[in-house]
Amino acid sequence: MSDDVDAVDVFIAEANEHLTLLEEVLMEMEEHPTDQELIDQAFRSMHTIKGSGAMFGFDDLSAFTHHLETAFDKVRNGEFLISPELISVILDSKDHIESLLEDTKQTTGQTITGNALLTRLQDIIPNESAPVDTSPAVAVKPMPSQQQLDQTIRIRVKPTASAFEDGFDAMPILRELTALGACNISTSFDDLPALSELNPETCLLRWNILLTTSEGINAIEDIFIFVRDEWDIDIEPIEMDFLDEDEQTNQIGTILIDRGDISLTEIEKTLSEQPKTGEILQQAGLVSAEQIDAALTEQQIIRENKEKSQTKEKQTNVRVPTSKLDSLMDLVGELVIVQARLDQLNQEREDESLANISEDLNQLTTELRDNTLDIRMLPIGTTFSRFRRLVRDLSRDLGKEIQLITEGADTELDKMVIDSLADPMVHLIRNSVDHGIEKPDVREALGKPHKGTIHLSAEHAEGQVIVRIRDDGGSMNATKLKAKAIEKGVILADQKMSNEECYNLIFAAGFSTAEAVTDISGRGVGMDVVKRSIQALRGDVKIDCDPGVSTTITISLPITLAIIEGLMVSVSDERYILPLNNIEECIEISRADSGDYPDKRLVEIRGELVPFVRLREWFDVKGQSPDIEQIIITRVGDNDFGFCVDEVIGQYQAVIKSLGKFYGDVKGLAGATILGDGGVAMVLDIARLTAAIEDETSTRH
Amino acid sequence: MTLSISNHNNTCTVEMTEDLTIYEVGQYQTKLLAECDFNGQFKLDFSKLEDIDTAGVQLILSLDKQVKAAGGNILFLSTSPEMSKVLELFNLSEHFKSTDEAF
Repeated sequence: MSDDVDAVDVFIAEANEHLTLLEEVLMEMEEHPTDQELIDQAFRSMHTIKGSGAMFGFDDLSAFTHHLETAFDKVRNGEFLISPELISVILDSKDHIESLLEDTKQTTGQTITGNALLTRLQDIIPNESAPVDTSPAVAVKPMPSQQQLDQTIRIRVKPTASAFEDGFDAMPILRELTALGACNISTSFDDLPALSELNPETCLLRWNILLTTSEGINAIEDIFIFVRDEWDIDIEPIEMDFLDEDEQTNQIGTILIDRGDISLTEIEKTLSEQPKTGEILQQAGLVSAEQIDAALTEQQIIRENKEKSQTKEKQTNVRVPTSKLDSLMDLVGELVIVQARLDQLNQEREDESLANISEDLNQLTTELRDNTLDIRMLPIGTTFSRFRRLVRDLSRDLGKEIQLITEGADTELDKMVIDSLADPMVHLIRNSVDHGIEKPDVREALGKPHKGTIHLSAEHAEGQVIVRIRDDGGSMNATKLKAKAIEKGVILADQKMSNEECYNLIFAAGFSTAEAVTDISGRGVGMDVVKRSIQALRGDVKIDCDPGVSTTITISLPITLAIIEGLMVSVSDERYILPLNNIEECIEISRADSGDYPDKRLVEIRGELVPFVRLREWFDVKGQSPDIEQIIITRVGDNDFGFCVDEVIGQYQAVIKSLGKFYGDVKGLAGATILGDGGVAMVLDIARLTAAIEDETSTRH
Repeated sequence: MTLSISNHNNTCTVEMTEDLTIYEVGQYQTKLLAECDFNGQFKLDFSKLEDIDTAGVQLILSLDKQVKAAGGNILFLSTSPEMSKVLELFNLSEHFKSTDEAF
């Protein structure tokens, strides 16, 4: 029984994935309405949802999707074109299907919604045969699984001699084929004469292609649609069995060995002295060396594919609940701490066998840690796609025209960071749509393009992930913000502030500047919550405006929350860990260097003055500085900053444990880590620590 | 003209820039046959080639045959990203080894 329940869960998870994919494809389709690949993809998703829905008893869902699929099939066949209205209906239908996934039986409300949607659909794509009815009476045959196995197909392409002059080039066709799967192209130019004999406008090249794809022959034939009548094209699937001949010969050998007629060495020796088939044919002048090479490549590919198809089932993905990943990560964290204890013990005892074990374990732990972190990494694009729908729907509701451009969707981030980032980002994008971008008529009056743009990008920089949301709307007014902040008592009336500081006031608690509260944003809660959620991820958010032109919100986030590579340093008995990716170099200063100026706060490095702070003074650590101190030079953005410590202990993997709320106000700490000897070291957050130090220094002066 | 040919020290160096497509192949063939010394080393520079189509690839393959017939070999000095992409698509990168790989 529980297997059935699990299977239903898997169906629901997969159906949701297909729905997400359908939504993404529909959003793409708005921009490329004639892209057949997108249309096919949307169709496949509907088809799979319908088929598997029926198998798992979701008859209402299956019946509804059946109507949707039937209508969309007409689009696929070119009878109807994609229109914005059609996309809207299908998007709403997608939402409806999502709600139908909650239970196998639909509620009355859902029946009404479903019928209304189908009526809308019928207005766009009339259905001649059946009246609209979403009752479960429609029988839907369970569909065979859509996931076809990979098949290797041999394609021979011989363009006409006049192909170049006719304006048909093979290059785009070959490119499209490579997009279908693993493709081995061999360009054949045996018929090509030397340059002096060539008519350069006649096409004499030919291609032999081996394509391994799950797309089927039809998809390949479609690629040749414009040239198939003129060109010589041969598409045939390769049977995998013919290679077994090789094995049969072996079998004869095996039999002879078994019968004691011959020994294995004798067989191998005799066979190795025989010329290979290819060599015989080449010597007979029947084929060229190039042709033999090409055939050997083909043989190799077929063999690999055969092996792959045999092990196919073993290589499929495994679904694992996130909680299991989290507990794995916790365990790895604990292991890293135990490893540190072992290291410590190893250093205390000079025991070679212990040292060996410790080293081996260290290597394994590092690998295990990296692998575990890697499993949790997801491309940020998974959240980007949902914003597309958000922007589309919101801008329609508000009568605005907005396009969302995304960049760096494949930037990877810890799954936990991505999950926690989604809500703050929804809020920020809503703000851009609602407050940022103006209505089309206002934009035109301002001489801006009719359509507004929200640019969403992600990139890796200095061990962090930087996410930017930029809109080209009317930006905020620094003076207005300041006045509002004074009015709300967030700042004092005589406080001096730069424009940038004024913009960042919107992250203060209880601050809202929208003149009218709309459904979408502007209720005065939010931006401070956004900032806090991002800070909880050890990240930061900043806003900057180019008045009247654009607003850019920059979110910087750590790639992972769990473990960092750091440099351990000490000040008296206290130990600190600085993230390695911020560190530029370490230098020594002696008391003699700073002799006359014990309060000196600048150090000269290759002619540049770099400010530094003594951690002893900043964290108020008791004790005396040694004669020779170390300065760790760190870099955040374009700025170098030094931290002066007593001693550099060495590289250290820190499993970050969060500090309790008592430490919430201490700026510049990312957390703490438990050391091998049971002690605790503070993990510094260089970016925030530097900012806090600079803040304090500027207020002091 | 976006095709330049120089014969020095028994080496013929050919540089093709901008486009090498069906629109250029005829003129290029004439110029290559007229000006190249096929009896020495042969070097091709595609570092500034922006666009190439199948007719262009065919011209290079045919030039290669001509050079091979005279007992020589073509060396690619360097290729533009576009040219590299095309060579990779046609699976000809191995056929035309660049000098970087050769040494």
